[in-house]
Amino acid sequence: MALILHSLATLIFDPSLWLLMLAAVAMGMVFGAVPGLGGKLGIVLSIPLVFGMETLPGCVFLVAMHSVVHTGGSIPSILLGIPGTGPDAATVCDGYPMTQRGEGGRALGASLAASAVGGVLGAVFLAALIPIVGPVVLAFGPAEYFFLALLGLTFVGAVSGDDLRKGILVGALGLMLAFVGSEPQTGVQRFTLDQTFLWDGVDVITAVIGIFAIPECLALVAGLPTDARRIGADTRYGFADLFEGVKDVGRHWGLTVRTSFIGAVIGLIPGLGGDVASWMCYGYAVQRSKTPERFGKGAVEGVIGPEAANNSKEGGALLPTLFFGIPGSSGMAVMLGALVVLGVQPGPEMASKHLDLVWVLIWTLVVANVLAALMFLAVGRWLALVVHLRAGLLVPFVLLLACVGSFLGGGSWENLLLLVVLGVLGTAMKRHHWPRAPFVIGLVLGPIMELSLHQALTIWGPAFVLRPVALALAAATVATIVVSIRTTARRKGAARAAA
Amino acid sequence: MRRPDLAVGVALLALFGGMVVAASSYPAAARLLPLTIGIPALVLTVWELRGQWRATPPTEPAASPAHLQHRSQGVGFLWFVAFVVAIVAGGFVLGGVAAVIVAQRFWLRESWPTSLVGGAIAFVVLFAGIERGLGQPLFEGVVTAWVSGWLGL
Repeated sequence: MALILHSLATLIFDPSLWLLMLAAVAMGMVFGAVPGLGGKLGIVLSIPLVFGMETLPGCVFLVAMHSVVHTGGSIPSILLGIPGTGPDAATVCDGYPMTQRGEGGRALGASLAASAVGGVLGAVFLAALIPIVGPVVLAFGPAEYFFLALLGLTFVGAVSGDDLRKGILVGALGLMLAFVGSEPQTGVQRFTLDQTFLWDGVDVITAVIGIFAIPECLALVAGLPTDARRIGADTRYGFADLFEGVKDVGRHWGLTVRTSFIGAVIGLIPGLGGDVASWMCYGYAVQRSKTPERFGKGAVEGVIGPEAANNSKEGGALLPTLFFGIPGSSGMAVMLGALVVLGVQPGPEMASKHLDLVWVLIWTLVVANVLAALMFLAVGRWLALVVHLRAGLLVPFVLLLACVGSFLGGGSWENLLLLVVLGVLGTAMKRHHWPRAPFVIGLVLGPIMELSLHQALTIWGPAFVLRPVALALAAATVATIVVSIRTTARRKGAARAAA
Repeated sequence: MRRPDLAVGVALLALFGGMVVAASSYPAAARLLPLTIGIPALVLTVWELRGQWRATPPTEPAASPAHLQHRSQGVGFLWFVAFVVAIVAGGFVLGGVAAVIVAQRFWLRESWPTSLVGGAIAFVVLFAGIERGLGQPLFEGVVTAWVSGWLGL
């Protein structure tokens, strides 16, 4: 208890941390509100800013920024029908019809309140699991890590969209690129093309920027009109409208709590991520409603469900990221890299040696989500202007910061050349509708899988697969693959029937 | 390329093929996972390409919005490459700032004052914010380093 209170005191009695959190929350909201940017890019572009910071302020900044991205992402989803980030797409279904009906303010109010409650409940979920993290962590050795990485890889299916085969191929590409560099057992240089900058492997930050940020940034230029659009009568709203939406969350508190819990659990499972959380919770809201026919036409529950899940999943996703070094989502994969840059080595030792930092981060989740809601209420009307920024003002800075992030992340200018190559690949993948999220899952989980496989084989030999937890994880892996194949087949069958 | 929809598949085929061939010469421990992943991925890529080849290629009329958008993306990518070339040659502070000004003026058709203000902001962020404020030395550029050396600076 003393540790919990001490962590809270560390956070709230340090004015510099408050300033950092305020800046981070504002940045996170902007990264969420500008379509095509999002949390991953937010962290990537923040890396130059946290370079050289102490561990605690740097971590607080990154977690605070990342935890509120979807709060900002609901702004273009609701006002313009353009999702700020992928997971905000579910909010468009009912948020935008509400705006068209003149209830944009109410939808935004519901979104910000649901996001705040979801974020706080996600932090509570993370805190509640800490006491049992110790025994769980102790039950995990190299064998279990191998199967956990394998289980994480099976979620490639969930993020592959309609085409499982393409998703598997992209995941395999991520895995193969994860093997670039020195092999952990023999020290052999693999696939380095005699380039010293590849000896440490493909930099995750450079890869994420190339595969995600560059294509999104170029799409922003291609998709947005070059003349400034101004807020029209249809996007005007007042404080009373916002507050009406806040009250809606109180009216639907059961839905808010349940979708927050579902979101946190989904965040906990490596590789699932925000898209799955928000769509599952949207589906749950429809399924539990007595009047499902209102959904898609402007039902406020259709905003509350996905928005609560979006933010609560960040709490759940922090757990595997911090205690197992396995990112709960692609955003957390980037976060993982950034934490390492800040001198934090995620893994089992977080539960014993760095629990104080973990508690500060939990409180950061709580405070950042509340701050975001208050900030949204105060400046919500003007924040909407961000979505009207001309691409011409924004894109060159994003490209420049992307290059800075790649250079600082990889520590070598040659990373910029790798960035161009991966940018070509990412742009082609986006253009021809290849899923890109599996790439990051493969790239991040590949080294964990390879190292733990060699360690497990050295310690236990092939019998490592018979360890109880490993067997349970293997069963979960098989079950996930079966479910993934069945879901894809069912989806394809339904599509064929509809055609 | 007559079938641009095959581009990603062909790129993956080349990557997986090259990596499998390279991995086959590594010691056993180093080639275990690359071959375990690479060979099935190679087979799956061939299968995927076969399916794509047989499917009707998506057609986009030359003047369709999607076609124009893709063309605009292509132009944007060339500008991004120019960005990287400018940074590699002139470094972040000189080349990067110049790239911001030129891109804003000639790619995104902003006015000269807006472009120059954009360049000034980029300079402040890079030089005052990152290099001086955070103490992170940024890449000075291949050409800049050569010129500095030549001038004896």
